[in-house]
Amino acid sequence: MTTSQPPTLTDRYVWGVLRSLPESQRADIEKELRASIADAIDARVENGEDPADAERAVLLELGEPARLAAGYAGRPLALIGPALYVDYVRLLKLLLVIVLPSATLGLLIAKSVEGVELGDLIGSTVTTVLAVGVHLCFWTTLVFVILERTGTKSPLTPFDLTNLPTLPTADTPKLSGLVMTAIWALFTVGAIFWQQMFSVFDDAEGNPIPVLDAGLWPVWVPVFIGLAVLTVLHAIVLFRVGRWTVPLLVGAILLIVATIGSMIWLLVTGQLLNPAYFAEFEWEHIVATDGIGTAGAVLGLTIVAIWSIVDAVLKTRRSLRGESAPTMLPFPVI
Amino acid sequence: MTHSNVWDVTESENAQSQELRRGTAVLACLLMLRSPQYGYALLEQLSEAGIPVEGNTLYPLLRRLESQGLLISEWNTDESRPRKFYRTSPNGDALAAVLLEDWRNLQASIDTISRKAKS
Repeated sequence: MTTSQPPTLTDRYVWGVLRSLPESQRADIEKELRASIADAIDARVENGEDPADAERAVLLELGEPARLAAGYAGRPLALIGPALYVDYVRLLKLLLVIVLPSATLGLLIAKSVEGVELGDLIGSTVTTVLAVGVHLCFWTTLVFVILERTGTKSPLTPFDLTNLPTLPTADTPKLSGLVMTAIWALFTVGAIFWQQMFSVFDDAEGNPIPVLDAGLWPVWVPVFIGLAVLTVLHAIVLFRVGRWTVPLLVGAILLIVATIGSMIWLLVTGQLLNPAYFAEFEWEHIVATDGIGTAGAVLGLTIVAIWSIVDAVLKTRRSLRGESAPTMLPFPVI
Repeated sequence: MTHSNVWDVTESENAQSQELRRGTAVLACLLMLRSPQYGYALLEQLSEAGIPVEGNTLYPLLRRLESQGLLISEWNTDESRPRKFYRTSPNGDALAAVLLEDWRNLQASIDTISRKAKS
């Protein structure tokens, strides 16, 4: 470019186009583009327009220089184009669903073993999991942007009829079920901490009287928290798989037996509840190991366990036989 | 449709019309450049011929067709303003013939459908 005069709008426009193009193409494109712009300006001036106005109008008509440069270079004007988009979204979802829950669980276990306080535990887990999620999104996106730029023009995973989704049936795990499980688990874990720190009743020294036996703390409370987390993970996997399978059934039975079994065992050996709490309203005899309350709770828990197991077995059997409870269209049921 | 917003209708007509015209620019260029021409003049010619193409589409398109061997270019420095002239190569001619055949077949198909729909 000659620089004896101050640069014109055209100079700046042409530079805006050229600067992102390979050095080898610049000279030729510059000569041609300048001629085209000058021709267009001349045509307007011949129609009686002011030269400065004509220059502005022509450049505005040519539009964003970066867009024109992308046209010359054959670069896509999208980070990830339609060919790769479906693969990108699918992989990203898959990674997030697998990695984030695993990371959360791993962190919770690791930090609990270290003996960190609850607030720190939650805080550090949330920040780390958030960072992991951002990293996952960023690096996955970057890989796909590189694929897009290096000219991958067809989907990575060719469409295959075996991947078609199965129609939803009454047995198909629903998102609402997953959400309910997660809320229930959070509520249970929260309640364990809450009853320890702020009970309804205080003792003579003003300390809260917890509902649960203090002897549960070193071992059993982490076990129950772990079981709650595993139950949520099971619900997530169940939802993702979309139907009951034998491994999922085995997992469900193990979780039910472990959770309800340990509760029943703790109840009948008198390790679950804190007699001092129930003494506040004179129920200690009811929740004693031979009390009517204990018997009722054991009966109730057993019924819940059996009902849950039978339900899971029936759903698995129907799913394996390819039978379905009446097909339901994806309308909200509740 | 009669009571829908007029602006919406023209907007959607424009989009559909653009969609239909996409691809005709290549054929029009290949046919028009059987006699050599430079960028801006071709833009004007196409517009007069009823195939308006934006400069920011046409200029990169010409270079792309050239790199695909469908056009041949030559700088003309006889006049005070050097201009790059393009003309259709034998390969470009062959492609134009194929595209023209497609175009005529499409037109025949659309005509047939249109007639059937009427009767």
